[in-house]
Amino acid sequence: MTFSYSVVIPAFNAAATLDEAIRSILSQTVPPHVIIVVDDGSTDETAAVALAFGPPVILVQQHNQGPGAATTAGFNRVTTPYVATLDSDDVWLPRKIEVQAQRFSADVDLVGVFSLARQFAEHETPAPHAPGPEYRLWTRTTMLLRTEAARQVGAFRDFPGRLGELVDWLSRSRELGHRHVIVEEVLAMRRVRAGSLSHSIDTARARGYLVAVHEAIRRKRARQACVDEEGVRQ
Amino acid sequence: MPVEPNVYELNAPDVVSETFDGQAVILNLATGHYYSLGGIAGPLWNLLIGRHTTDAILASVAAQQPHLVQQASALVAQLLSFGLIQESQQPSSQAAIDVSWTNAPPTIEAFEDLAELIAADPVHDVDLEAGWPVLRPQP
Repeated sequence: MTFSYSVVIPAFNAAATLDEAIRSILSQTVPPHVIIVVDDGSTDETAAVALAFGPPVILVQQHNQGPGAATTAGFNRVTTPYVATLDSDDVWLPRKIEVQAQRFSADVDLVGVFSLARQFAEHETPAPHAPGPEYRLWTRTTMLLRTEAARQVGAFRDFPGRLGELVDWLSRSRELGHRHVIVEEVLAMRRVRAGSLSHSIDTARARGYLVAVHEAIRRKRARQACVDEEGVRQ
Repeated sequence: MPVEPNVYELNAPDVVSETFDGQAVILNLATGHYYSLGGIAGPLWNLLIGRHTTDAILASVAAQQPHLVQQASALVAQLLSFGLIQESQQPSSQAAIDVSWTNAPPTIEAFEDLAELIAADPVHDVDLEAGWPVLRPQP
């Protein structure tokens, strides 16, 4: 199967989990052209972990700016027709790209394909067939995009609390008429950190989402104003 | 202690809200639904989540824009039905209401277009026992 794709991993102090993330990409039944690790100013051994692999893993380093800026920096290096992303603490299952690529070949107008995922605890080995809920994971970990269409959307912007950048980007992509779908199959595993935000939502960090949805409302208003103006002219 | 009637508060922690340049935006993180408030709904919302009693708020509206009282009252019911506010166990605010009510009727617009994206994002990263909010099945 010929399917040429790059993978972008934004990584900040991810030395403990990055090795496993990269190995899960190298185990794909459809191998990547390149794995671009963007070290977002880590103070741990993140860069060394990435460099230890050698090709096809390459390292991009920048001062700490946020996951959005790091993802954008990675996208800027992509030369393949498709680009996938992976959060540095999650892992893919081996047929992830193969299954998603089939979806693209069946639907030439698609821009993005996501997938279901299961979760695993911080220090456990991912067990994809263990009982437990499946999640519809519209996140960086499952995202596979057509590169050309993705470039039309522009940069991934960072928001307060370093959350919401993907919601914002996908919202802007949809506004361009891009279609994203989810493959109804578990193709990734998401790490859950014990004690992180346990049983509650971190409302201070959630401010990023508020800013992102406010911008979505503003864009809706602007589009509505355009439509109204067109109506007046006619 | 009995709950004081007509005192509400933000339905935290699921619901978050902020006013951007006079535009109040509300987001329910549990559902991914978000809301935009227009007209006098913005200042009314901020008084509500500041635990002013609805009686006091509506009296203030009535003093300046009597024709909007009914719509203001209906908005409170709508905010409750959307689960954005809840009855407060705390005493009501005794601060004076100092709002210049315009004659723009209160409006609330609800958006669901980003619901699944917001509900899947990492803010919901809770522990394994609690799980993430299990996403609702597709309609």
